[in-house]
Amino acid sequence: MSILKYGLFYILETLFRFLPVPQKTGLIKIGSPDKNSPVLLTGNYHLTVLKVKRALRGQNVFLLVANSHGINVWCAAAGGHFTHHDVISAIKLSGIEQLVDHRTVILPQLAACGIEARVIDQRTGWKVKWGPVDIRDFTAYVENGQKKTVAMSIVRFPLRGRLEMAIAWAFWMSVVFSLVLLIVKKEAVVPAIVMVWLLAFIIFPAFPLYLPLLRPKRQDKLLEMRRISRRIFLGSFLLLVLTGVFLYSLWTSHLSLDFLLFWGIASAIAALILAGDLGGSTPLLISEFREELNFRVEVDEKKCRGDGICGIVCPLDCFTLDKQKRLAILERPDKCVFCGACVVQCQFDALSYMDKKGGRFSPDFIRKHKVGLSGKRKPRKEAFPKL
Amino acid sequence: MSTLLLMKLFETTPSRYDKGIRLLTGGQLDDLYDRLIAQVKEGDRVLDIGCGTGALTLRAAKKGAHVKAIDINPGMLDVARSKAEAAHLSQNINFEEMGVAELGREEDRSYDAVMSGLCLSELTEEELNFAVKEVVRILKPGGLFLVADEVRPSSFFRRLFQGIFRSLFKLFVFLVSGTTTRALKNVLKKIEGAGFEIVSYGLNKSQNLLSLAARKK
Repeated sequence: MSILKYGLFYILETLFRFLPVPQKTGLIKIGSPDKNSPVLLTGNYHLTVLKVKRALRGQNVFLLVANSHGINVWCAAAGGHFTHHDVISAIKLSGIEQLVDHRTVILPQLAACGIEARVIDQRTGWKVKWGPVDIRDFTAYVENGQKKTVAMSIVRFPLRGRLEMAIAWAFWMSVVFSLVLLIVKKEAVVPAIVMVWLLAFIIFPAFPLYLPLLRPKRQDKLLEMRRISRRIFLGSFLLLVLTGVFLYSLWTSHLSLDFLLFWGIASAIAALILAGDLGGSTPLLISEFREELNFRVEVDEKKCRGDGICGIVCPLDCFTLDKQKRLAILERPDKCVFCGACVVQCQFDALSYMDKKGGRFSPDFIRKHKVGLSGKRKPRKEAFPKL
Repeated sequence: MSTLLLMKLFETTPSRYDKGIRLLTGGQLDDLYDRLIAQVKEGDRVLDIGCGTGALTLRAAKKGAHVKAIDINPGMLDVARSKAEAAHLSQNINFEEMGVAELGREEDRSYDAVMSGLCLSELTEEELNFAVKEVVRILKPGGLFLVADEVRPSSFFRRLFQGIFRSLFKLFVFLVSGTTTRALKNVLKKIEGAGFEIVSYGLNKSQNLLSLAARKK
């Protein structure tokens, strides 16, 4: 595919980032794979497949495109739209079983929150390996004997990702703002679009500057600190924006009550939309609207055998493995975004979610209802085994 | 105000599914299902592909058929199970979480009827082709394949109308209930080509809901 065509899709699908774009499922041969070549699987979000194909140039692999309903693998798996059933379909119906001698499929690590490796093995005999988070690490992953380094397991939010997010938000907000203002106040359309893009391009690229504030490290009062720090952040951002409006009106000598009121309200709305739930738009923080904000992941030391799968699938490197005691330790709970991957994959059921009051979501409950718990906001009280 | 908030809507699907579908189809689907199920007899062994919240399953079980109901969504199966329990029909129904890709586990010529409501349109092309092939294999000779699903209208204007009006309507229903549907293409050809004779075939007024009964030759 030419760079021009790729660029076009890249721009279009970044603008419409929040909409699913499905593409045909099935088997794609990359290079000239043979009976021993690796089998890699991804979701059918159009841009994902384009990116994967680009990253795999020069390799010889079979790429299975499974049905994730046109959504990227992380969101699809977390929302229950990309499960082991879709993987089983891809394995059984693509004809891959006649093409290779081995029975190992490499899945994207971020899909671990919704795909049960155990079920795939039981029903098809195929073993699952969790590949790198970023497909561009695939060559290094293969050269490393199909083993991941910690760096390959961590999800990042680089400048490029932040700019993409800024564009996606600014684009749909400009559309909505324009539609409203066309009816109410036509002459404000262009300045409003400028304002929205400006705000988006301040808040997302600057993310690393205020990340430490939004992710307090204090373990004893983690939940309280999280809430407080988010309020401080939102309050100061609103203040900053309103000051900006005021200074702008001074500078352009538009200093009238009308002007201040209109643009004050408009920019406050834009700022609230963009920053009100910043956590939900970044891969490094948990959304304000998720009940799990008040939860924590618990390791049951009696059940844990220290096989380390939690560390392999955790995209934020929260776990440390105590190799002598053969025990996983949740050492960095402040980073946890409750994707649920560790809970879903642990074959000993050693992990679960606990809420503030000691209510517990069992692993099977998380597996069934995925990350958002299917709108079930009240944990089922289940006796937590005494340690 | 985030993508995750939107996901919250997706996730609540099972509990709101029935309401959403009723809104989307204006109740037409219930009549359609009733007519389809009229062809199921007491004591029949029936397979429901993509049982969802059990609309077809419960109707068939009520007529005294033994139903195996499969779906890939455990949340939907939960809703179906509790509906079956409330209607005291659990003993006639065997629910299983599995997809069409695993139909290979079913025995040859073991079912009197296979039915599917609003599921074929959810399948990928490979899944649909495979499912139709497998249905032929697992049906007894003379067994019935009963399908109710959304299709693309054949006339251009209706397609255009549906494309514009219904997609807006669907967006609204989706936002309220987290439920939507997709339309099926060329299903008739596929089913005939697999070795069925069409017994009955009906479209609703707006030509987007199909009900079909086909007999294995």
